Amino acid sequence: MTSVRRKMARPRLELIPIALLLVVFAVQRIHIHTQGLTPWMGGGFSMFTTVDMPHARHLRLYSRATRAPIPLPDDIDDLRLESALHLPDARRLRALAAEIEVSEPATLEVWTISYHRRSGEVHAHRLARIDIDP
Amino acid sequence: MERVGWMSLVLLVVYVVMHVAPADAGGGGLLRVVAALMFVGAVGVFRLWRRPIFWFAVALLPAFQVATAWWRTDDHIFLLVYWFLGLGLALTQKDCTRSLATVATLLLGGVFFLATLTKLISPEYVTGDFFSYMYLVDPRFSRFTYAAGLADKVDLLRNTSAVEDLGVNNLIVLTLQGYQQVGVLAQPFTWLVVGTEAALATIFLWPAESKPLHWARDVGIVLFVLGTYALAPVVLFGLILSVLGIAQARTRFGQIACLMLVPLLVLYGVVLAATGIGELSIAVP
Repeated sequence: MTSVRRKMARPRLELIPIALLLVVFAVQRIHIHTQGLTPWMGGGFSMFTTVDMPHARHLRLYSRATRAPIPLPDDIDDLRLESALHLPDARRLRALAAEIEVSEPATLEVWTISYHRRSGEVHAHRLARIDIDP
Repeated sequence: MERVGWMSLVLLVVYVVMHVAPADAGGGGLLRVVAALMFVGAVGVFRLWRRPIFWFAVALLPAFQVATAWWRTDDHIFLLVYWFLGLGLALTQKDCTRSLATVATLLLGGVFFLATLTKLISPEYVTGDFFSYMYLVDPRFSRFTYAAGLADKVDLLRNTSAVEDLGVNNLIVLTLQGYQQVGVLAQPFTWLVVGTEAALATIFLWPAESKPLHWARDVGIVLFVLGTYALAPVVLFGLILSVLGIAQARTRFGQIACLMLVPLLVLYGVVLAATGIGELSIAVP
């Protein structure tokens, strides 16, 4: 009885990090599927599973009227840019869009790539988009 | 326990030197100073590292990095938080060496389990598309494609720059050079990697304890660290796994071999930083 009480008094606290590992994994998967998070980041241990890696992502800014590309401003905040590329949810895209001044209605898009070994083709495809007005 | 404590201090110093850049979140410089003071304090004050509170404070350093930008934080920084936290929590237990071994074994098993699971549920991975791409585009892998005579040096360089230009040129599709031949390397490697990680997950999470299992764990982690980090030189990740290896080791071989991995990886990191070998690329002909 005494040993039972002693055991009860000392919970296995050292298991907390294992629980955290699993919780963070679940949160990362949710963000991958709902917000477009790159699987290479965020604590889910899914690096080396997909070509959708951070540096494979890119932004496209173009005129809504003519679809002509518009160069991205040079003084764009690096952290905001990286944030929108890694995790292009609505909040981060809005924050990035707020930094970009355009003279005509434009669209900002986040793109990533996929690869098909049988054809050898790398396909770029859109992950997220936001309209920006002057 | 002493060995694990000292090696975890080495881990802390390497983390601060390699990852807490002053530009990071605007407080990197301060973090570096705080961590250095912690280290000096641990060495100077008799057995400070035996106190849980010390490791909880240490865990806050990588935790701060995770909290400020989790979406751009590498997985091994998360693992560092779990380890320092686990170290502190294990010290609150009566048999702290045993608790530490439990944390290390379960963290290693958990990490390999998640690495296996995420590969098996990724269609790009199981079809072999992922490593086919890496062997054609990523210089860490394409040097082997070139060495095996499967693709021309110029074609591999073109692949890398073509993918980089995909966004700049607003292209939708491009075809990689040499894609027909590279399956010979990519397909076996795909299954070798996931098979190795699945085997490691199994031996670390196996519920029963036995001498052959302890040997398998110790040999497995040493071979994994040596094999993986020679190819993909993420020195800090290798160091974390080595320290976890020391903490979980039940054989003399495992304790010594994992201990030797620590200076070996630190030296490797210094050589990489000094020579730039980590940026391995195929020289332009």
